[in-house]
Amino acid sequence: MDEQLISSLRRAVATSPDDIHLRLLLGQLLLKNGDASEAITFAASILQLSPDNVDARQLMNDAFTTPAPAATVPTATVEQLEVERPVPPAANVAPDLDVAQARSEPSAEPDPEPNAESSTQPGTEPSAEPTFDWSAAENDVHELAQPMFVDSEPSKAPGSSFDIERSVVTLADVGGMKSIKDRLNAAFLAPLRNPELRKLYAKSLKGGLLMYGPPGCGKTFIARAIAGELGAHFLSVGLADILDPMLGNSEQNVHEAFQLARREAPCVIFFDEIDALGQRRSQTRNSALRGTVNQLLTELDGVADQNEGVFVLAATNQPWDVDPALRRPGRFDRTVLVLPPDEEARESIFRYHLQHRPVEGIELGALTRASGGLSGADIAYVCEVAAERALIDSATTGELRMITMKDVTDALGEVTPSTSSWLDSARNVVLFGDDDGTYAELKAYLKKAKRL
Amino acid sequence: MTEHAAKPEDAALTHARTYLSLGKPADALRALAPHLASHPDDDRGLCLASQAHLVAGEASRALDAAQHAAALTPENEWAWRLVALSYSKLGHHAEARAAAATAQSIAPQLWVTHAQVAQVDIAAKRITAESQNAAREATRLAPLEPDAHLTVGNVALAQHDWPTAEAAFRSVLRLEPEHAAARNNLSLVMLRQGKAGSAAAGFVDILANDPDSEVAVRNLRAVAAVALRHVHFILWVAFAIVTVAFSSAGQPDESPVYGLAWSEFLGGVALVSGIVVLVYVLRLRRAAGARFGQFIRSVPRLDNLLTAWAALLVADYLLMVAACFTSVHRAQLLYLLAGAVLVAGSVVVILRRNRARVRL
Repeated sequence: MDEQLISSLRRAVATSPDDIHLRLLLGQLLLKNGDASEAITFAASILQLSPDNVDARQLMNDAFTTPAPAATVPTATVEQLEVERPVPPAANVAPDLDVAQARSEPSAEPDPEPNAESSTQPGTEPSAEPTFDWSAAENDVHELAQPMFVDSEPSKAPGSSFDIERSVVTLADVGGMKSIKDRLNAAFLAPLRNPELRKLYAKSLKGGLLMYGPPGCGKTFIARAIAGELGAHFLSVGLADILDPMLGNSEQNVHEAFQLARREAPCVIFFDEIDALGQRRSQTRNSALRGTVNQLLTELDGVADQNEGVFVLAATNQPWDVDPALRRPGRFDRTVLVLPPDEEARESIFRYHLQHRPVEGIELGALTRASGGLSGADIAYVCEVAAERALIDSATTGELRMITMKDVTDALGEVTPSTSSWLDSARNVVLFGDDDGTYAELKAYLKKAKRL
Repeated sequence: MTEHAAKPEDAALTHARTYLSLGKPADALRALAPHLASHPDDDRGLCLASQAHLVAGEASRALDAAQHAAALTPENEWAWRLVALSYSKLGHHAEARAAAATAQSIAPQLWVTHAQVAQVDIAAKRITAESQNAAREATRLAPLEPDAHLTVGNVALAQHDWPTAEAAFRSVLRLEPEHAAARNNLSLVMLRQGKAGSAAAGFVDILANDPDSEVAVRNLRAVAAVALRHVHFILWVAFAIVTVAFSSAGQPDESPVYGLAWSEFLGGVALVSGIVVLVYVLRLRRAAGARFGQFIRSVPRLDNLLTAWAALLVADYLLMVAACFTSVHRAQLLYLLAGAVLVAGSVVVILRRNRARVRL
């Protein structure tokens, strides 16, 4: 019965490789059937997708501590491990979390000792006589981890400072903002998720998505959520990562970022503050920056299917400062306006920032209604100010007290929306610089907000 | 030293320069911080820090950094120029002038030192022959440098020498068509020369390229105010003519002749004033070209008081026209109401002026 179940689960996993629950179930069944090595394989693959998955860690632990039947430990593999020693296996053992750590020190030689220790449970003394065959286990994991390193190139270019991560947030973690989610789905996610429909309608995946809006309204968070939705790696690129005083190095850094994203595909490459990196070339006398814009254009255009699996996102507060060439079809041709959070989103943000603080009597509904126009960052600041009031009060009186509704409403009274100046600039853009209707969405919002 | 062979400490300075060119003074200061911590006496780092503080609007910090640099390397003209600029921003014009003169004496071969002298004088609103000579010397030394011509234009603008200013700003735009300051100042010259339509088009153009330009928004409001002031003046004149013509008339109100004369005279004045206003608006439209519509549509969004003012002027004219088609008693009432509306318009003008003063 188990065999049948296992084989049907195998088929299901083959169909839905990203379904963590299926993998977990299969791993547990395999372990129950005595196939610890394959259970480890599945546990590790789950940890690649979701490094924090407690069940997968438990499965891995159970599989490690289950004595393997002699017949199932392939001695040949152990020997193979000995032969392949030049690459210390522990370096390959690490699931994604540890890989990120290793990537932060690209030039360092892999040191098997610390990694071997890291395999031990924290706080436990290493046993003099281990009951488990660690070499075999390492070898098992070594095999499953192989695809991550098959190109033999380090996933981080030498000298670069890019860190790639696996996003764990999805759009479901973004409170409210339904219209933005709908727009993202229509403009970006639906074509990506439905390859058949995409083929049917001959919809091209070429081009990136530009998110714009007032500062502090969650553009970066949404970019992470998109990566999470796509189950893709997330590579965030800021101005500081690209700018290099050496001639040509800034362009090289742009190239390296795209190369890294291509190697780690599927990968979301996210350019924050694209207005700085992709500034109108007519506005800058800085030759380094002009070269960077040119390089960015080259990378976005790609060659043939070079950018297959690379999803390019960018965010800016000032889309009007972005070089028009970057906005042409096939580049950042889709735009999404990320506005200050709506009521539902504001409630989520208040809840998020207050839930781990000592609060009492907070009426989220009232706060939500009173905080119209505030950005997410403003709300975070309101909660900070409220906490500060309670803290100072407690320190002064010597008596601990909770953060009350009054603290938060007083803090709300002190904070003015940081989005106002942005909205003034946006009004000028709509009034004077929107001859081609690029900012129709913004215009509609400003009219609705009675700012136009 | 080539950029390829740049020392590590130069990297921080290059980073800071790049951030400054992007208008990001905070990032520039962040890039400079470790460099200045390890090289507190590097005059180049201090000058860049001073420049970043100036861009960030922190003139006293800029002055501290620049003075430190000037004390370390008294022959560094850059440091002295920054001292001059910082003092100028702080309103200490005599000290600014002395520092600018020091920079000029250190490096008379550099156009920027001469331009700095002229700029300090412009800020102090004390244009002398020396300022003019300094500006001219800057363009002689660097004829292809837009900012040298800009200085000449700014000196002329401060002296109300509109033709020289216009020529200088046009020279800047020939060298750098997107030069924001030159475009703004050229539009300002147009406005001062009574070419409000061209000025409006210029400011709308600036805002289309740089929507963050508060100066352009302020100047566009000024253009709208100038236009409304013209219309307001025309309507005041019309009101005054009718008042003077009939205040001395001895005929009784009931007389049909009086009524006819009143209606016809008022109608004639309303027609003439309407034509004058129309001609003025058409001239504005022709001068502003395609930007006229944007200018008109933008006014209500830029300033509520301007909108109120315009609405009062329209109401005044409508009252005048309505008075032509009604009985004498009612017409006189409407006429008086029109006068009250004109007065209300003047009150709005005073309110706008006061608000502008508070903003400054």
